[in-house]
Amino acid sequence: MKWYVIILSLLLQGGFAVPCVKASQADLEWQEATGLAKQGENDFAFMGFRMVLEDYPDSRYSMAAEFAQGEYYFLQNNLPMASDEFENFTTKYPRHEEALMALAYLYQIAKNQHHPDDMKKYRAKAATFRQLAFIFSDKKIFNFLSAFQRKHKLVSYIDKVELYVNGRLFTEIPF
Amino acid sequence: MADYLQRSLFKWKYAVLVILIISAIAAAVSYQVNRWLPQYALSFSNIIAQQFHNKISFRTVHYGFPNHIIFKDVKMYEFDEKSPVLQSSKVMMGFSFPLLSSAAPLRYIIMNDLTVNFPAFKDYLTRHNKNIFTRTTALPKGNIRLIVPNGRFYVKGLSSGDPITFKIDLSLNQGHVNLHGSWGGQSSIDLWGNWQGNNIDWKGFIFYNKFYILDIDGNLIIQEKDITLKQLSFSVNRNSVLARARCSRQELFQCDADIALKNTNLHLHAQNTAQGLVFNGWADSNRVHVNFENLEAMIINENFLKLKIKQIQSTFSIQGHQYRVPFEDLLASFNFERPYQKIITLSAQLLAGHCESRIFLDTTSLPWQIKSQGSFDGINLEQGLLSGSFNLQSSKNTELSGILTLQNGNFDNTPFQAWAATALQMPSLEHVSGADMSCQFKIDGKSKMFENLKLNTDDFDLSGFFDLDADNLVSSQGSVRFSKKLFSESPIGRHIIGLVRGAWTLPFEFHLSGSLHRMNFQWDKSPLKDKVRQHMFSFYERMIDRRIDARPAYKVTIPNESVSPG
Repeated sequence: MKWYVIILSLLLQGGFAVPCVKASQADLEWQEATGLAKQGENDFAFMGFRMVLEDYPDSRYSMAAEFAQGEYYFLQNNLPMASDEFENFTTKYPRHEEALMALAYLYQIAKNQHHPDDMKKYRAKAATFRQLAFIFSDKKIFNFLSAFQRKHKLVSYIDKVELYVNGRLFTEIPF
Repeated sequence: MADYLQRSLFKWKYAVLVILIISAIAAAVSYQVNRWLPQYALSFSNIIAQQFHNKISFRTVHYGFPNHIIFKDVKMYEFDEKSPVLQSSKVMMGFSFPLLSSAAPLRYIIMNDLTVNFPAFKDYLTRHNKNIFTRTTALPKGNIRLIVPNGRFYVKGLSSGDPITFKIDLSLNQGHVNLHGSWGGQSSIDLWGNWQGNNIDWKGFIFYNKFYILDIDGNLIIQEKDITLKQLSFSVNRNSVLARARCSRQELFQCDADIALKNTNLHLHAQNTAQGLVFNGWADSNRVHVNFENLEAMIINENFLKLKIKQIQSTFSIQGHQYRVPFEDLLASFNFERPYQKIITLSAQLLAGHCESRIFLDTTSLPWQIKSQGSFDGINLEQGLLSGSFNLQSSKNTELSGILTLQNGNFDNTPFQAWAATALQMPSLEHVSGADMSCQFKIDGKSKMFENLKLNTDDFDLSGFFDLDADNLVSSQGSVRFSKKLFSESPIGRHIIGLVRGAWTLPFEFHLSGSLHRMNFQWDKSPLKDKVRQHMFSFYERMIDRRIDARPAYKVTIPNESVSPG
């Protein structure tokens, strides 16, 4: 009887231990990739984020890693690829504040590409993103440190959204 | 050399002699023919008059060698009528040569300055069409060409504008007819077809101003009792039209026509009554259905047409809602005096009220420019008594502006009310009655603006503006003063009353922005807000804001603790 209990408990421990080991590996890979980003090795960091996404698609880093895909292409000035990645991001995480940031990127990309119809489309999406009420404060702020270690600050007003990156105004969506 | 000159002179002598002989024969023939021609022409015109029930007069008639006759000042009257139905300054009739060789000696008719009194001509054709058709089909077979340079249609004694020049080639033995007409430099008509027995087919095209009427294809069957337009199809500026009609040839004229345009079907029933020709029918398009009864058209003169319609029932749908607008005693007048500018005046009774409008239509180029001014008064809607005025301008974009007032109005569960009732937690706002509303409105393309908006009820007074752009994004600012009863209905209101004495007497100022269906709301800086904030700690304000953020529908709950004393 004792043998059975011991074997069962070992099996159960093994079952729990595997994801724990995997989670810690995801942490390690993530730390390595962000470390590369901190050193300015964006290309290697990007590959690291891709690895995290491929190896641990359900980890807690996946959303940040996916955002990093769009951010990387944007930093590389590959606007069509950046646009595709941010589009995928907004589809996958429609209710996250980060999706509004992705919309702000998409709006700015459309602006850079002189695509007024796309600008209108993303403006409408930003306007319908969330219904806000400003009772005492006149703005709502959301901070986000991206995988490439850039500080994002999203400021929502009643009639516009502003996105600051590293303290500088990146884009403004009026509606 | 002398021989040569002598031979040439001899030849010339013969040539001159031959010419002289021919001239003498021509003169003799002309003289002889001209002697008996007037009498013959008179008796011939009498025969025509008897056969076609009319009267023909002319001032002079001359024979022209070798094969034509010229009438001057020709007039055709209907029996017992004083004004001519048709008149021409000169009619030249050409015959085949020799004169009596062919079964159809008449080859062409040229009618200079033809003037048609259109109403009289229409009456004449209506009365005698059977006889004319029978006599025409019995004419000797042959080819006849009718040329009318500078013809004019007259309506009630006035000219109808540019003279029309047309040419008709009629092949009576083969049953072919070709018609070419042109007028005004830019307008022309080309029709060709044939007939076999009672069956007439024709095809063609028409250019009229900026209209291109192409691919005309028609089929008409003329029978003893009725005329059937089996089908008539054509395209107007690439918009296809299909028409079918059946008209009775009996004493009581009746005609039913079905016309299919691009997205619109039209049915017309015309009947001759004591008042003249009266139309009933309906028009049906994707979203609009219009029924009309007793439409009478009155031609005052060539530039002025009046329409009188006893009843119009129009049904249309906007955003899934069905609306019925019944007009009664509609009077419309159309003034075509200025070229390319039409003035239309409309007035009608509408839902116990009255509306009138004046429309200026500029048809110089496509799309037509429309300017309209109008007013309406005392229109009894389910929502209240509506009055107002409007200006409309339309070319590529449509711009509508004006003033609206609604007395004793009722508003039930509109999207805005539903939003306000939820956001402010005042369920009574979902049903508002006895409201007086006024605003200035402007609709420019897809954007809508409501300025100086005032809505007064027993429970609240609202003022402000509400603008909606082409992408359905809202920009709005307002100020509302609630009654104590309504203010107390809301938990937030009750709390504010607890903090600020007489809070309901102070206006509540706010902004709305964002998507129409998910509007953002902001409580603006105002004396009421300042007084409320004086009684609150900052962390308590932040707590309320956080709770609102956590509930997108704004159903905020008021924390019971940490309130500073009022």
